Amino acid sequence: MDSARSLPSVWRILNAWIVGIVVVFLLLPILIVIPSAFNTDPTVTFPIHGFTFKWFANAIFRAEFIRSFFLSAAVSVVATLISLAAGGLAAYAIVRRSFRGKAILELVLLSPLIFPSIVLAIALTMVLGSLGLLRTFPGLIVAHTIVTLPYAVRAMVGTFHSIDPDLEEAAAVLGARRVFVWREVLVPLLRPGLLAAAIFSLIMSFDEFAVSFFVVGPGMTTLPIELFNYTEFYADPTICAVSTILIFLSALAVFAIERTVGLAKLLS
Amino acid sequence: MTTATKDTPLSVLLIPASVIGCLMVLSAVLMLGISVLDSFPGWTGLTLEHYRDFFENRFLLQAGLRTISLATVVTLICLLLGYPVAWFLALGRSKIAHLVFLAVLTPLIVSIVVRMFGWTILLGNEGLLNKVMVGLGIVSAPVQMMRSFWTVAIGLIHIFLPFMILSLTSTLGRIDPSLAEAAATLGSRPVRSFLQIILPLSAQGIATGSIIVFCLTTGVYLTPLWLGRGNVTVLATAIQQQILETGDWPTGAASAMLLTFFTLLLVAGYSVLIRRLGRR
Amino acid sequence: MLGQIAIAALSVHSVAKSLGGARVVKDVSLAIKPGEFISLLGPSGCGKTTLLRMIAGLEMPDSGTIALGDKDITTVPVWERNIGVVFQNYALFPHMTVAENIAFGLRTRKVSKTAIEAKVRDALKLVRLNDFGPRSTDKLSGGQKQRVALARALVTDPKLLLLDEPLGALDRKLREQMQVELKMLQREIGITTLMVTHDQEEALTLSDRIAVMSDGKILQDDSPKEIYERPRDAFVADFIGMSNLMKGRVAELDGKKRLAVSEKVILDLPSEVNSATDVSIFVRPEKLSLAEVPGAAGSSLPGRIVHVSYSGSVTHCFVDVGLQEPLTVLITNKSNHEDAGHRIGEPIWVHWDARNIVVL
Repeated sequence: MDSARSLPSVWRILNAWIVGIVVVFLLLPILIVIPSAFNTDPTVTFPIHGFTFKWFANAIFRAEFIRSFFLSAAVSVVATLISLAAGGLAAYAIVRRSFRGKAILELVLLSPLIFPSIVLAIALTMVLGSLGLLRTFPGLIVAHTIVTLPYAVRAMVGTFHSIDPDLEEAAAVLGARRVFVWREVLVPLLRPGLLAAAIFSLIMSFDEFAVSFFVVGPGMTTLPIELFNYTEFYADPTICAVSTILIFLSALAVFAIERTVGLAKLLS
Repeated sequence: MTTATKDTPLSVLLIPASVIGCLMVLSAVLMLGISVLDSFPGWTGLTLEHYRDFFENRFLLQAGLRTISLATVVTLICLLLGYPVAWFLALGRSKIAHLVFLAVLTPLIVSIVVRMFGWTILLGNEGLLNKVMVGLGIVSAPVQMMRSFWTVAIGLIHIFLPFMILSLTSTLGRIDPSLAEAAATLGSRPVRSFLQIILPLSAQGIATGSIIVFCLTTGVYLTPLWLGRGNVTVLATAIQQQILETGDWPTGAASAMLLTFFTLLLVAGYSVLIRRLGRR
Repeated sequence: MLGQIAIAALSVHSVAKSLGGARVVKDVSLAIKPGEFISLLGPSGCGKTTLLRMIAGLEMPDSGTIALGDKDITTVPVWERNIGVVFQNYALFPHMTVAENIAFGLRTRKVSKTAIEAKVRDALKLVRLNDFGPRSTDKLSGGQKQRVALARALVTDPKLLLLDEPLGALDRKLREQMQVELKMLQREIGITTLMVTHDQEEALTLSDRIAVMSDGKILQDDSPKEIYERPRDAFVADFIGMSNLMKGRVAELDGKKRLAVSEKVILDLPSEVNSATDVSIFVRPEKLSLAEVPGAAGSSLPGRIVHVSYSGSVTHCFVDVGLQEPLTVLITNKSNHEDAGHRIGEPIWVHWDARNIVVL
């Protein structure tokens, strides 16, 4: 360790302590859910008093959970695909072209990042209501696409900036037509950025609460809202079991990302 | 621009995003429109009365102030906890730094519902923290921690701390390490180097991280609802009640617009600040 | 002018350092006399920068001592050493003006405001940037940044000046100009200076002494002339300037020492050679010459020109003499109107003077 960059030992120890505390703070509320899912007690407590799988059974055999899980999955996948396609094209135009109203488009596309989500939620409820899309699958798709598009645009703008424009020109000089350039040059180079945008968008959408809260209805409810509703009436570890399954799925995703592109590289 | 890059028509590139963009703009315009109607549905004229109503309505005003203080507290604590971690991540190239980085990113991937539930297990009356405190004899009976301002704050810090750390790490990582070394060779002790070199140079990351956390906090809905359980009313939940329960659309819309204006003002102020910092 | 510079000697005594498990500096000793300009020259990764960083106090040696004047500074923290350092990328504080950058070291020393102003003005004058004080550092050219870094390092009257590849980021023309400026400045204030560089020409021009480093060790520590003319081993010979290296066996012939490079190629050797059997010899390209006729036996070799490389003032001819590598011969282009007339494929004789041959 070089002595100029590192702080004196007192500060270094303090720094290490804060890092440790933050890591515990970030992980503890996630990890504590897992043992609670196996508790025999009908209330959520810790430490646990016995070992059982019955809450998992309860979670898996509850039709609402299954239905809402698959609805959430379907909504997030469709919303992500739309965001990536629309966001990718728009990002390309923002980075490589100059056109009138570019600044406005950028502002509009990125605004939900600063637009309070509750405002967006209520406004969207009215728009979707007047279009007759409330409590429908297309309505949910529209709502989620609006939430995820800014993240997709942002990630893709960054990626397009990192791609040398000369490459496209080189491809053109070599006789490649437009579609060919996109398929053979741009998309392969965009892949890490696309992946990052896709993962972010999937997470955002799967987790979306505020906007969906107003758009969903009976038989058309996403998982986070179904879980929230459940906790309004019950306080048993079924939610822990569902959470444990979700954590397991997240861990699988993290593992897959870490093995393929590297989480750190993806999000930097 | 060469002919090669002109091939794809601009309309093909822009129409998909513009459709979605128009929906957003439409939503915002609609909200603004409703906020100046004298009543909704069934309006007869335009008025700014509902903006005054907000300031005269104790419930809304309190929720607004609580939202701002919540956002302030969350932002400050995220900054204080996040800076040392970002410092550690920006300097360290070790295996440990990589693991800490993974730990910081993990919450981003776990559903917020799961995390809220984890906090319930930790902070509930029957929760781990109460058990530990009673067990150690710090308190005689479980303390009611849920449904309080600070529980909501903790939940929000948990959600937004990774954003803050990522923002700060990228800024700190971009600072040339030889600057601190140069300061040291010029006779500057580490604490002074930190205050005079590192801190001013990371001002932009601090500003970006703070603005993201502050803005996102003012708009959150689920966390106050879940961890507050009706006891911690922030503007987002108040607006929802105003519109869906009281049915007072215009006042709710006016509150929402005020929240939006406030956020926009903050972002504008931030851009000015950044430009000023950049000019130095 | 700046205030009194306390000129000090530097002595590094068997210093070693490992970084990330690799031994970067291996038992290095080095002594610099007061006012001397010495260069650490070597390829990247040879440990020269680590050695400089240990002297500056930015790294702690694993073993050995470093003394400045008569004071052991091995464990003194950087900020108490008062050693001026010019970093490779200049490390100018981007959020401060030129004047604020220069004043930084004075402010850490709690110098009064008026004294700071005067000293900063003097320092700016010294590096010929008189009116640049209020400017922002990011609008400066490379050469100007370099001068600000130099002024900042010198304004605190350090006992020693360390330069880490100070001219590496400049283009060739500017680099040559800055070399002259730097040397004149150093001589004017007389400060003991240690420069790290991988540019042999820079080291030769600027230094009173050069220490050639490779693989964590100092291979040779001598005056530029000695380093160039009498390199101690093949690495030094090859690293500095162009050279022709040949391996061969020493044999006595007609009472004279000869070197048999191959069965046909037998060369005269300088008389002081010891009777080692297998040796390497080396000769600089400018110490060879070309002619169409052979010289005295043992002082010329027949060959064929395989490549000619014209570079303005000089021309390099590569001559195949039946060895593994062609010999490089440097010809000075003295005449505008007469063509030296060496063409590829032309048979030619390479001549040399045995006194210019160095046995390694």
